Amino acid sequence: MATAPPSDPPSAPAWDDALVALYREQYVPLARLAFLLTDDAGRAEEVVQDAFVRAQRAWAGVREPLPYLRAAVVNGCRSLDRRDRVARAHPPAPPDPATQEPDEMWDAIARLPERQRAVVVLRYWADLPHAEIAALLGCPAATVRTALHRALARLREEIEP
Amino acid sequence: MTTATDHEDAIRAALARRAATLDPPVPPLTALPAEPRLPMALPRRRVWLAAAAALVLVAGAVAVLAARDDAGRGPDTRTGPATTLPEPPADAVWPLADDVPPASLAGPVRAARAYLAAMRVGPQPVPVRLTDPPSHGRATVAYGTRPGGTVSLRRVDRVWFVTASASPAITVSPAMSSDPLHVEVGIRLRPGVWAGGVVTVVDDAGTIVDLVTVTPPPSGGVSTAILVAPSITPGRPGEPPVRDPLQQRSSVLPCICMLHPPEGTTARAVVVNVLALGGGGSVAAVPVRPR
Repeated sequence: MATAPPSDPPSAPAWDDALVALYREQYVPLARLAFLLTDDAGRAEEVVQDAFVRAQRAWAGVREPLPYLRAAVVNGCRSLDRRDRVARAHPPAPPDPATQEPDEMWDAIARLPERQRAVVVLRYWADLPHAEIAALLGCPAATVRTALHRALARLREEIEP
Repeated sequence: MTTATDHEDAIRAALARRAATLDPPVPPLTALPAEPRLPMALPRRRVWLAAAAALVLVAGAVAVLAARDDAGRGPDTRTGPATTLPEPPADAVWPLADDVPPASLAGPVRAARAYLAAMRVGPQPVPVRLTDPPSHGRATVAYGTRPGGTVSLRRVDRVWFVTASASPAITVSPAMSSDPLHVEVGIRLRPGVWAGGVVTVVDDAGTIVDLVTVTPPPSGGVSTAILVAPSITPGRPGEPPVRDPLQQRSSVLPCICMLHPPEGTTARAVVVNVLALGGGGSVAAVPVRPR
């Protein structure tokens, strides 16, 4: 059942075919999800790679691979965010050189508090229902709805002062 | 006034635009790390075991140090913080003068903080952290976040000297000196990040002996730097360099700064101080090497 892809060296741990397929199919979407949550391309890719490594190690017990990976990515990003929160509070983030043209709405989203930003990204980019977002973030669905409501109000205030 | 749907559509569109800017190639599975790089939550039992083991190690180390101290303390053995700075190592870029309290250089993190304060990297206090435990008398301290940077340090006796500093948004080529009056260094500021900066060359005593200012192009577009007012003629001993009228030069290549230390001085290091758009700043420093 578990076989290594041809490109792996013999000593590499075995990757299940389904996980390999998921990796090829979902790497970029998950990297983009992490990118929207962290605003850091390098870290986003690291988080996704680590999520797949964890999935591989826990593969026998993973029943729903994509939600598992998505949760690992969201949690990985939130761990990064917690570590960086103090530091990020000091210097205001300079414009990202990757974005030469200003994007007012994105800039406003990037300034949202961690939870509100995560809710906005998961709702409007990943198209997840409230219940699934709540499960990912480990909070009640009502909290998700409140966070989303506040985020929308804040974004509207910033965009249409 | 937009409707709720319009507002949500605008959010979706912004997220989609932003996400589309990231289009990484899928790395081969062999490129993945064997272990996750992020800190993992340890089971509680393992945490307690690790804590107990750490306590035993610390207690043992303290006992060993105390025994060694008692046995080996002679009349010349210094046990407190250094009171004077030792001679800076050849690759040190800071401090070069002895006007820095040795106590502020007693550890790599403390020394990095003192360096960033001296370089006026702000806003203070800049968050700093060791990237790895010091090893073989060398350490690297990361500071700030975006763009942030790193400070490389080296220990001499019990004092930590900065040997280089870097920032991912500043590219500094090796500073080369073909003769005592010329130092050449390539600087590239990542556009859209920096408001501008100052490139200085300091001598053996840490004194600034020449400087040029660099500013990114007004458009913030391609990687272009404008070099303003390089000094051309070195001053006489004891006098500042004679500067030519303002010159401007732009290039899509890294900006080559020509610095001219006055006669009688020895160029020791090139320091690039930059101010980030929106506040904050960064510093890069490299030693000057003979060509």
